[in-house]
Amino acid sequence: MFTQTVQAAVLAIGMGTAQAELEASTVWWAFAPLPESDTIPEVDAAGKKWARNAIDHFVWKRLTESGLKPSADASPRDLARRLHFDLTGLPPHPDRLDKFAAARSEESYLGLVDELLGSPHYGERWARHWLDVARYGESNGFEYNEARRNAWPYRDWVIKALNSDMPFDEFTREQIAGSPDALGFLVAGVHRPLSGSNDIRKPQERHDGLEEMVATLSQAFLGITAHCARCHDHKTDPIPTADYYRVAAALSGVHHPLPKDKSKVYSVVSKPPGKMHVFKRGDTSQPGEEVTAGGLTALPIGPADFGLGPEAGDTERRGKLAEWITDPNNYLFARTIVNRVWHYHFGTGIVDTPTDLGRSGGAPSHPELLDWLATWFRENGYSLKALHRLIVNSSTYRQSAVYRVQAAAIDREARLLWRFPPRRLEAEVVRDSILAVSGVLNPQRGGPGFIDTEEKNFNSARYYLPIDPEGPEFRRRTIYRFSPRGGRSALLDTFDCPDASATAPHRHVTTTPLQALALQNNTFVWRMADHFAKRLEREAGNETTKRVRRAWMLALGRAPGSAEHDTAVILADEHGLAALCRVLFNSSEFVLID
Amino acid sequence: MRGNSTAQLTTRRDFLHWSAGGLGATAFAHLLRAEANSHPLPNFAPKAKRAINICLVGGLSQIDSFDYKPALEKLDGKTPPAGVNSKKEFFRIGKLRKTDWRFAQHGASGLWISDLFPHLAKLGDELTVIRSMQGTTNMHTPALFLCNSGFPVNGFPSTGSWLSYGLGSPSDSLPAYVVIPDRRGAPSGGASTWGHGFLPASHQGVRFRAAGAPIRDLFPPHPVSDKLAQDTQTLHALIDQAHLDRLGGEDAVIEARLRSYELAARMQLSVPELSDIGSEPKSITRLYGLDQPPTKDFARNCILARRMMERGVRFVQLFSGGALGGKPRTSWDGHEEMVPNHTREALRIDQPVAALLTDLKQRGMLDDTLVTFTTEFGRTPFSEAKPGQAGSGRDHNSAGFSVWMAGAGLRPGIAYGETDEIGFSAEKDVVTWHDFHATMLHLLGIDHTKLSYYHNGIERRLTNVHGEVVTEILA
Repeated sequence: MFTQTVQAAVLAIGMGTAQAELEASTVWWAFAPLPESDTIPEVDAAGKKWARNAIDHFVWKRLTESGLKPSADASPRDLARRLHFDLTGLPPHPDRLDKFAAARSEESYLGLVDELLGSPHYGERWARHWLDVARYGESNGFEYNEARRNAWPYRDWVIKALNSDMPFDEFTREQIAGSPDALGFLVAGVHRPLSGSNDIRKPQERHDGLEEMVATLSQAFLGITAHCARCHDHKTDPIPTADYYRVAAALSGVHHPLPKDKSKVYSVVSKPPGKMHVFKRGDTSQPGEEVTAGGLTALPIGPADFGLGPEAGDTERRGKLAEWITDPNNYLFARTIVNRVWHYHFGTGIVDTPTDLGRSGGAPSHPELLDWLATWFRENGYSLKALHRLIVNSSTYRQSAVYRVQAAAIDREARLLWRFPPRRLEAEVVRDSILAVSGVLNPQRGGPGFIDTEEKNFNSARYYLPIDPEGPEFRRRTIYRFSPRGGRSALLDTFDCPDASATAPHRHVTTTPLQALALQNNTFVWRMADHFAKRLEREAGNETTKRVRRAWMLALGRAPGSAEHDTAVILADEHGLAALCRVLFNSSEFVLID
Repeated sequence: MRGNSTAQLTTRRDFLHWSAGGLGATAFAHLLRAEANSHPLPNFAPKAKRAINICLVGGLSQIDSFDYKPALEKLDGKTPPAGVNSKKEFFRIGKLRKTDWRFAQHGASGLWISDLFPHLAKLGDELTVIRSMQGTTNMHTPALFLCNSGFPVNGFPSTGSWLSYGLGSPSDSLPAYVVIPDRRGAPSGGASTWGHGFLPASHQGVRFRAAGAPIRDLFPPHPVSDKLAQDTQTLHALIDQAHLDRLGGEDAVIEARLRSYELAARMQLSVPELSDIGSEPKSITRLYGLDQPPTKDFARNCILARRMMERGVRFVQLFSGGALGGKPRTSWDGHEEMVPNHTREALRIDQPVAALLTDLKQRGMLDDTLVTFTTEFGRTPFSEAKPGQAGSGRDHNSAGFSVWMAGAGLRPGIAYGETDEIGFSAEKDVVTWHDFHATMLHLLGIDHTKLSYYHNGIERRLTNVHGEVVTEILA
């Protein structure tokens, strides 16, 4: 059945039969069916000794094939910090760290994982990842860039859904065809209010908006760049132009709210969709054949056409689309999300292009593991928390991050995972950690965001200038920051915070002098260092030596070395505690997960 | 370059772009990722090693500056041809309106330039004017994005970001791409105008401010003694070294960060030195008009631009015109009254821009520096008024407008392309922004089809899938 489908798809993109057969015999891995049963590789005795779960079998096999060995477990301190940052985006409290380090047992590790996954901070951390994918921004972009003051219910919905471990298929269906809060996904991107009465530009702009939606949807849930097929058949993947317009037809009743709808939740405005045509070269003045709502022909999920006529309503179309995407036979759906989750845990996905598992994307480092994980995820009820648990409980994840020259000579980037690849924290985690360590993080959850930009309105075009206001309401976690497009924050910006113009499947990691200057001189950092100093005075008594020790434990989760200690005491005595706190904020250890 | 497969490699690579950057490092970085787009840059010997863009916000009227239309004198007061609204873009189409300025031929080349720009007119032999530009949108922000990034929407890297990505910075203590907005405010689009789009954030334009420290966060909010700075650095180095040792002695992020603090310290010296235009001789500051109220703002920016060019900044962008709107308007958006609007705006920049060209030339730098003078779009040959009425302002017009280039690798003293009789629409040798960008990259030694970046399924280019180098204007 599958081969037939591929043949049909290949034929649909205009190849000859011989060519189609050739293509069908070499089905791109991401489109191939998932393995039916458990196919965990056998490993030798040493591998069995090292492995904690199935993941490790796959990783061990690839390592040994390349003449590599895994690294030993990281220290309890490193593991506790890694888990805290990875699962909650906040540093561990020294007390929790002490408790964990003292226990030194498998139970204490599993217990910490469960505790962190159960923390409300888990949702805040992982919602940020999903909001990157959802290109969530709180203004329209384009020339007028009106604020979306009521978009936050979508952000809160994502946080709550993740905290309650909503199964990922349901999470997906909700965002395509569910409640108003969840539907914020579809309209979270940039939006150009249509140009008045201009009947030439209007349809083109409407289709630009649809393309934006199809692009995000297909990349977010299917790991495929279906929007590339708007003007021509996809150049590398089996997606004919008609497929693109079928998906567009399924979404064509979705509209952005008008600026006057300010009192309502910012969400989908549903309108009767009407007919859809294939447009030659994407040009709306050149309508071709009519198409009705449907999915991609290359995926073996029943007929690509949903069997809905042109009269079918918006809700019905989206309902079918949501079912089609989350169909258990949609292999791309499961592969895409497990790869994405892996990407956030290890810094790089099994496929290093998390929104593109097609032929233009990267090659998988562990194809069998990706398939096994996708199958496992589907069989375990699409539970993200179960998937996290599986990954972080593995020996692969628990490895030390220590560099080994010989291993690096074979696999410089550690794609085969001979160590835990260290990585820099994202902008939001840096800011949240500074707040947490300073003891002033405001834990208030949900609701309208805090505003650290000044809105300027010129001729109805809005600008959002960064400001640094003081007060507890501005010390909430960064996910609760009102984030208009173009309203960049001085500190977040230098740490590669994206501007939500399109789906951001991965964060860039750049290191520049401007970043160093921001961390050294930004007024927010200075103010927080003062709070941190006051906290040390409160919590560590009058002796500088105790304050220094407390500072290291709070900021870095470890005691200072003797040289560090002595130098720090001199610095604090001569220049004040806040000066010491600023040094800690600037240290690489403060901004790295290792 | 595909995705962001590891922090290490990307950090090292992007860091190289900022710091030792330059051509060798870029080529090396490209070789590291040989499987994707591996064209070492530059693709061929560049004519220009650096560039300045002067970007006019709001829309300079071609008919009143560089595109002389004698026929419009005769047609003044007549009804415009119906074809002008074939795209239904105009809501107020008044009578045709002749120019309010006097045109004359200048220099040995006899280039037509109006007395809107009396200083620039004297340099007619240095300019390569393109009179046949054509855009795709009459709306400010999309047009500004289009001329800066090749796309009329948010999210695409600006030209300067592409240059930073492709060529890096020859200076290790100054950024590759610096932006100086108009003192009166940022252009429409704000910081997105010089944004990095999907390229790493290190490639975005670094904004120079009109007052205070030239770069945000360059100095601490409170004074720091040399002793404190030294002690801070000592402890910082100690902590990072201990961290590095625990990680087995090598970590690209930590190493890059250590170096970034050294460079930050160097920037704290180099940026104030760069910004110290008080050290320029009187003859120079007078040449630019730094001593005169109308020209002092832009004179400062032009002098800074020249100093940046001398110190290794790759691309400097100066904006003329602030936020849209206001009364009177603070940009080239002469909807109501062309004469006061364009007179006011031209007065601010004419002498400084002419001085910049003169100064670069007398230093021998115009031979390997490219200067471009661009605008969002042009303006209509008809007044913006009710049908049958004669107004004193002009509406936006992307169908035909003028820009110019000067310097390295160009045929100077020529006007390329033509608009129709009334100066409304480009007719002969139409140049799109993709063509303009392709030509600009060509002068900087880059084949525009080879400078690309993989993003969400597409190998993206500054010129999308279009663009032809305008070879006729090359020397």
